[in-house]
Amino acid sequence: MDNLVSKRKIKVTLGVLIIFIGLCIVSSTYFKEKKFEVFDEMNELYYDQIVELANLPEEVVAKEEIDNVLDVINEEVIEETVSVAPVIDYSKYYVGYLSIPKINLKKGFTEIDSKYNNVNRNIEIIKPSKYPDIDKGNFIIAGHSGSSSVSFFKDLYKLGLEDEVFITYNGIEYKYKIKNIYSDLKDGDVVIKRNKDITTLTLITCTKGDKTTQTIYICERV
Amino acid sequence: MKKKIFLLIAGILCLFGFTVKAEASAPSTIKAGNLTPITNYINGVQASLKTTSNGQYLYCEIVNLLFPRNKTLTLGTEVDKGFAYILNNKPKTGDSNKNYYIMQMAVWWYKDILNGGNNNVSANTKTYCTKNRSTHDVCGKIYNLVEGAKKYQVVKGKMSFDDAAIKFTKSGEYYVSDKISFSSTNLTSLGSLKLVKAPTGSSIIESTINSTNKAGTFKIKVPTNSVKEGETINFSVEINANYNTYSVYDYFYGSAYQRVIYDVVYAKSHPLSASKTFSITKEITPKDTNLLTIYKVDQDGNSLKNATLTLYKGNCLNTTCLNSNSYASWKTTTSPKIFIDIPTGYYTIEETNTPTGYTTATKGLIYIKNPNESYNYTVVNVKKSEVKPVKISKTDITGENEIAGATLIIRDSNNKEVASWVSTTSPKYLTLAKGEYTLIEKYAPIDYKLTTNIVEFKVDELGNVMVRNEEGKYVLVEYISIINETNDTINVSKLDKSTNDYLAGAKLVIKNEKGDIVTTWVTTGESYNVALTAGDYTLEETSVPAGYDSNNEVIYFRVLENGTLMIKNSSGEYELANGIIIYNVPVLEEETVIVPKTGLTSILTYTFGTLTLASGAYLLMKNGQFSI
Repeated sequence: MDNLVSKRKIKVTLGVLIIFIGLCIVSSTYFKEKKFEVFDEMNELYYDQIVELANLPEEVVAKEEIDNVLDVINEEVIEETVSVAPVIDYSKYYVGYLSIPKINLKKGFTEIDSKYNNVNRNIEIIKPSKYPDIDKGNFIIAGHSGSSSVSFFKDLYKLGLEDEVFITYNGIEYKYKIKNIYSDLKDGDVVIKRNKDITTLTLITCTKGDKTTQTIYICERV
Repeated sequence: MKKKIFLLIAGILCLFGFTVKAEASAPSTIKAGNLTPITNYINGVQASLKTTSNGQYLYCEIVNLLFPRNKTLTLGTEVDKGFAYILNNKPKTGDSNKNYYIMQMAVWWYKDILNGGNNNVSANTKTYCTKNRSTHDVCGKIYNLVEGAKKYQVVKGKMSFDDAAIKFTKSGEYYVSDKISFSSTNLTSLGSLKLVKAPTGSSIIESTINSTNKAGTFKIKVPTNSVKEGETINFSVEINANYNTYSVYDYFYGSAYQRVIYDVVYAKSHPLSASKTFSITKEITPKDTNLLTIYKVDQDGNSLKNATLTLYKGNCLNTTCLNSNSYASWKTTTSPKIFIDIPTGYYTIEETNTPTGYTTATKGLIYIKNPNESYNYTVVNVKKSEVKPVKISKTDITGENEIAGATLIIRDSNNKEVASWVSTTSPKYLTLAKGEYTLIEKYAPIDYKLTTNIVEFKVDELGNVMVRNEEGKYVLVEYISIINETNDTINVSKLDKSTNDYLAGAKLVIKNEKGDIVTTWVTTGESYNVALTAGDYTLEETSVPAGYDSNNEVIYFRVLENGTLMIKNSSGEYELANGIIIYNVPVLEEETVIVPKTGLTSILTYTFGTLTLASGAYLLMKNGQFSI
């Protein structure tokens, strides 16, 4: 009899554990999204400070000062961090932002050579991109669509011609308008068709409802 | 040793010579080998394997004759082309004897068809094979070969350039053609495109034609400096190719023996060529040359000779003209005086000697504005008389330029028509009796608006003229002036679609509703104004600026009597407009970039999580912890 009760308890415990695991799995996407939101907020704070420093005269911005500012940021945000300054991985911090008001998207991007410049973690700057401050260059960004926690471009399909897109880089906001939308086969590369006399922003993501193609949004600086 | 080397070389040469000959044509003799019985793949129908002494297959044409075993056979004739089809489409069953059997049966059957009869293959066998061709493998293959041979026709190679007229457009230092298409069928080889009689420096570009696809497109570019102004050059593009036809021959020994078809198909190569001719004409660029024509007429418009006129540089209309400023002086004849390439600026014309019986003409001011326009001026002498003629001047709004082409009418106080005339580049002189008159314009000159106001005037007994002004009072005037305004201009802008910058180099054309060209021009870095009379028009682009895609849109617009511009919208309705804009989209450059996969969903995660939850719930439910 005791043995039976003990077996039942084990089964009940196992059931509770399985339910807990199930809940964790189901809510993992949601928590990942929240994690990214917090991460983005941190980075935005950091970005503002960096831009502020970048605008100071060059000789004033010594490495020590940047480190000090970084220390201050970490003290303000992470209360548990006290005496020892953390080792900062500069490459994971955003160097600019993509924002599209129509679909309520604001997402940072890292340096192109950063290991965090990866479509599975962020929106990814695609080589051979030229940053927005380069005249007549093409700044190419790819992002996931779909329903995952990193599907930052999931609502891109709602955009149409003449919709506005903004890039903030080095503290300057660059305004673009969508001038062309077309699709290309999902075969590892896409053909970008653009007027090379105009500074361009190209957004690339999977076509909604079509697993075989990617959609390319050509935006021109206005 | 020398002899051995000589024999070796001779042997190689013989071998080489023989090989070439064997490939080029059928041998004059062959030696038959043995005849070997093989399986009857169709019940009751026998065939034997026949070869030459070196193992090449031979197919008997007529059954039931002796096979010329080990005999030397002589070349007969080329057999029907249907046999070439059979030999070119040998079966591949994996069994060489079966393959031979099928071929021999097909040869016999096809020969029966040619001869008309059933000498080789019985009617029963043919019927059996036809009925069972889908189930009996051998029968099916024989049947297909025979049917193919019946339908076979010698296919000649063909190739051609498209018939479309090819336009050459100036692009930088070259004339570049439209895309030229080339197509071909049944070719075995294709040479390269060659330009014939094209100017030095010409070349074929963007060709997609190669020896594999044997079709495609290309363009031709020709240096612009290779064509002189006003000259037309003609040249052509040529291409050579080959196609094959196939021949099969039979051999014989004697009438008592079988004629046999030798199992070799000889391909004969046929040359083929195609060409297309092009021409490029370089139009003559108008040179900057102006023209000043000075007429000398009397009041009735008749040429007047023996007057001396002097043309002075500058404006001395109200001062004494100095000899030092004299540009030219001449005695008039019945022909006008013409100056070519006269420098721009103001000139004063003065009559320095007046013909007898005429009053001296007043000085006139001439303005030569542009180095490439034509100008006319008329010096009029009025006959001396007691009654002065009435001078009626029809001018543009400057009051200086007489306009030809207006129909003017003068009526007296009883509304009776006194005079009617079409204006010329000289004023009209009329001798009118004392009285009150009205002057109206019935038809406007081309490119001018109709003047609707009526000029009321009085003439006294001496020919003095008084015109009624806006206040209703008559005032003395030297002459009556009736002025025309030019038609309102339509503003046409050619813009870059992406930057809204003006585009130079596009050729635009405006046509009227009949489709006649009203005006055409090449756009510059600014908008273009064109004066149009009321009516419906179209605007389209006939030549695209370099670096832009052509715009095939035809813009329909309407000019109203009062000069208002209206443009037809996409719904077919005319809308008010200030001007016409015709855009060009820049040619988009293409660049291929490597991109990661960009679609990611959490469906699996949700599914797995839900299943896990369900499993946990099931486990709890089974153990009585909760129930649904």
